[in-house]
Amino acid sequence: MGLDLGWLFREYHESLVRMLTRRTGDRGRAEELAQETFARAVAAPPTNPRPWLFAVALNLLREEGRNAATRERRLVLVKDEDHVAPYEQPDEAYEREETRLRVRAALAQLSERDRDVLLLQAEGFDYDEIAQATGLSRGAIGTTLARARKRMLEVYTQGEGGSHVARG
Amino acid sequence: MSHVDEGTLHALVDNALDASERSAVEAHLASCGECARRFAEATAIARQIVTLLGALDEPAPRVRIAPPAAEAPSRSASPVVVTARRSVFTLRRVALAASVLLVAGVSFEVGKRRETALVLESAPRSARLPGTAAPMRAVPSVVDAATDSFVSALAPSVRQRLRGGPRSDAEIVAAGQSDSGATQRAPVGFSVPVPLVAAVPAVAPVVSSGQVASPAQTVSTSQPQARRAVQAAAPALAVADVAIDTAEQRRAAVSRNADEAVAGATAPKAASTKSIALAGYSMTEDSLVAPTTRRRYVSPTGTALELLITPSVTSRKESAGQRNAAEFVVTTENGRSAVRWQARGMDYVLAGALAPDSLMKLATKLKP
Repeated sequence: MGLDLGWLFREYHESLVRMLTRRTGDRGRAEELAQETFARAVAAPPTNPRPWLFAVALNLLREEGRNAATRERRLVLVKDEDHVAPYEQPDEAYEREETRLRVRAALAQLSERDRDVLLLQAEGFDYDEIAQATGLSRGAIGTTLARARKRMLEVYTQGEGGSHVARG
Repeated sequence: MSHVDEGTLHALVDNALDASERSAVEAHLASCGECARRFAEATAIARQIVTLLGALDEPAPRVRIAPPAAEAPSRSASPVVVTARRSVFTLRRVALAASVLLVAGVSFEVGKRRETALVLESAPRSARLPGTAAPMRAVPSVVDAATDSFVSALAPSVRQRLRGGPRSDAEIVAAGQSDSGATQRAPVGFSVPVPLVAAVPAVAPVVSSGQVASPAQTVSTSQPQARRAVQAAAPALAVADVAIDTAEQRRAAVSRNADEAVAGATAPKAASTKSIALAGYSMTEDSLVAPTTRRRYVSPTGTALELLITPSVTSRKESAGQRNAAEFVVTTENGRSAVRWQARGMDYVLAGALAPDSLMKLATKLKP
């Protein structure tokens, strides 16, 4: 069966890059990973493209392994400056940046599996697709999401309180 | 049925239950206040998470070439140039940017009846300028296809100035002013590395927002080639004047302008000035990152205002003894208003999340 790569790309590229950017905090890296993922899709056309693409991308990310961890941190630091849109007012830029860092921190507190499930759901995956992409059983998805969401919000809210105090 | 577990509640929120499960759970919720409350909570949490994750997305993806900036009807025949001020950047940013700021004002013309402006704004991350006291100019340079069309639209004189040297990314932002005076800005969608080239003594070519640039600072592109580029959504650039200010220069600018500054209230030196009182507001910050004095005020209800004072680099209606030549220019962006005016060689910007009218009133009180 022929796979229309153009269609696949139009349909899923944006979503995949967004998910990977959220996951890695680095848009450049997210795009590289997406590129590699689509290249693999050409080599081995999937029958169920969406879960397949995201699963491959997340696997690639994992393959990069621990070596990448250091690099990621460094990239995040460099990248953070980038994120301030130049036409924003200083206050807005500052607030935005703070929120972003706190969200990243909260996301980092989740286990990898919880994080992946959360990010896939945010891309509009239904539970079947999440199960296919992560290898979890469908029945476990709801529980995983419940835990991931609560945990993330909890950590984020703590960060919020702390940062207000710090800022005076 | 006993209480519904969390996973099932979230599955209901996500519409992931099959029909029979769903009706059973809904029946339970209808009769169990506790579970109904937990369901509401799960719904709220799920929604909040979506919002939070959205904060991780980049404000403006750079890869995509954005559609042309929103139609910005021109008010006059002369191009309206809206540029960034150094004050766009926070203290934090300034520190991060190794105390080098890059601001460019660029104008271009689209067709006959529409003028708008392009603004290059950037705070170089890595390009630390060799401790030069001489003013710098930077011009855009070629790297990739996107930049190619950008450069091909440049006036020949500007193209000629392209050359190598230390570079810094500059994000291109299209800006225009509508009839209502509201400034519209949109990232054009790509950034260019800007070589930093020492040149030309510094009359900083930065024009205050809302000001009409003098002809020297704007050149309209008339070449068909440039027009085509504009229509292709790539910006046609006429002149790119970029001022790089080192901290030293800015300090020099401050002392130059200090003499002209209105004594007391408006003098740019943070250390020695009386605070400008805003009725009902208390001042929370008064700092000077030369040449910009930044003051922040907070009202008892938490409304924050920011006042930026910068020595003017261009002046309007400059004539001795004409104290009140300055006009107010009000802009509103994302619920935030800014009033700009010029007085006695200084540019003032008062900004905050207030209605333009209220802000204007405050500005009138502040105006020396």
